[in-house]
Amino acid sequence: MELYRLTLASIVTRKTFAIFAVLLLALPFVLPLLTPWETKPSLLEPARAQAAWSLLWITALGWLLFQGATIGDRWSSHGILDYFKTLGVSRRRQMLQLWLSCFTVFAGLAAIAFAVSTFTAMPGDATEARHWLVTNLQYALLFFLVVAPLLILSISLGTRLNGAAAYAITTGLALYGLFGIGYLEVFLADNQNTLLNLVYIFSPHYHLSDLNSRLAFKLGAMPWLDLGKTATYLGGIGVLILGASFQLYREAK
Amino acid sequence: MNSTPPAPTVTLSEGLSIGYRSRRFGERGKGTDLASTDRPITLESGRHLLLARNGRGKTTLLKTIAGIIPSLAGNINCHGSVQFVDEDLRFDPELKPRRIFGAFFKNGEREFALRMAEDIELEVDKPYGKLSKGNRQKVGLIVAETRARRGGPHILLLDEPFSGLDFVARDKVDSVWRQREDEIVRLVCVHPDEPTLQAKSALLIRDGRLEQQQVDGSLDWVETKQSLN
Repeated sequence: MELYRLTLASIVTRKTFAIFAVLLLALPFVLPLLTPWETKPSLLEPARAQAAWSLLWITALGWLLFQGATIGDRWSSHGILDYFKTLGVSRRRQMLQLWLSCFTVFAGLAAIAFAVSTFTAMPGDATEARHWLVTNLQYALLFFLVVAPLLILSISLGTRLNGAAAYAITTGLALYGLFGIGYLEVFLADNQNTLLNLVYIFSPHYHLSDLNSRLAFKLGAMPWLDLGKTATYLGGIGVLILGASFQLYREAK
Repeated sequence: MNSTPPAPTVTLSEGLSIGYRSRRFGERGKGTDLASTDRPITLESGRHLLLARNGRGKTTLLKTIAGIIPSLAGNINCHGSVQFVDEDLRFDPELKPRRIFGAFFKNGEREFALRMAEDIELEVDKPYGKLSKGNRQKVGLIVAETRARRGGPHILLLDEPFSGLDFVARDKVDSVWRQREDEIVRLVCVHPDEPTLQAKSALLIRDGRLEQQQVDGSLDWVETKQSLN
């Protein structure tokens, strides 16, 4: 696990994660207060949860994928991955160690968002509180199924392209899956276009992992069958991305 | 019962050819042959120099032995843990050498790395990016040497490890190398203009041929340089 420790040391030394940690700790409490919450104070807590998860998405897209892309780029251009290859660390193990080092730090950031959303916004009623906790856990699972493969992709693209290109491609894919598809759906509702319809079908529907509306409107936990279907769908996309990432990964540029 | 550890060896087969395969469309499979062997070459424990003029395939040979790039023909057999320390190997410029050693090693190995750093005058608390070229070379050398302290046979492939080192540091690295000459094969790629180094043999690449020249103590440097021209 030397590559893991070396990469983790590199991430920790740069300390950029600390900015996001502070934002994740402070903004969920500050942002809802900037709204006209006095008209309905009961919305304050769901808004806090929504802010926490939204900030975690921003952290994933703005920090995590950037880390993956730059580390893939830096280590492959600096001969580090070739060095580990000569030590017998296979491509698969290299990818796993790089992924794990980024995710180790990100897990701490995700834990902050999860804790803020779950424990500082939990409803008082016992049944609602149970639903709240389960919804947050379901959200965490779906979030992981989207972000984890995208991180692998950003690392692999970083080893092949440069860091900026790898980051732009991965973040673009994530933003398209989260928001772009919504625009496409609106367009297709008014227009018949076979090609765009196919694009829509084969697009990664990452927006399915966004449970913010369930939290904001206290809709309760996702039915388990729906969760299973969504998790299987997102997991399937994850497997495809993993396969592509394995093909894209290079020890040296 | 005492058992001596198995000796490390590198064997280059007869007909070994090193170089690059083209990646261009329509030229796939075609290779640029840089050097080949007429007879088998065996490197046993000890120090071996790799000498050639620029662009003749020194680094390519090291990368081929390390398994980073495939040979165009023939085989290479390595008996031992291989490490290839590229001249261009660079760590994160923000990391301090102490942290780098901490990531690679624990306990006794870490202490050895720090002791070696002190011996060869490396500042371990200065960020890697702010170190001079020679000091950056030292970090890679220390990592490789410390790993080679682990049990079992080792093969170190070092690409111009002395290019940025002053004579004092060279002498100190040399004395570290002398400590375990029998358990490690060190194939050291050096520029023909480098000062004389003690070695067991020298691999020379000239006119596209890779040859081994046995050396008794140190190489006749002037003669070798002339033969490379």
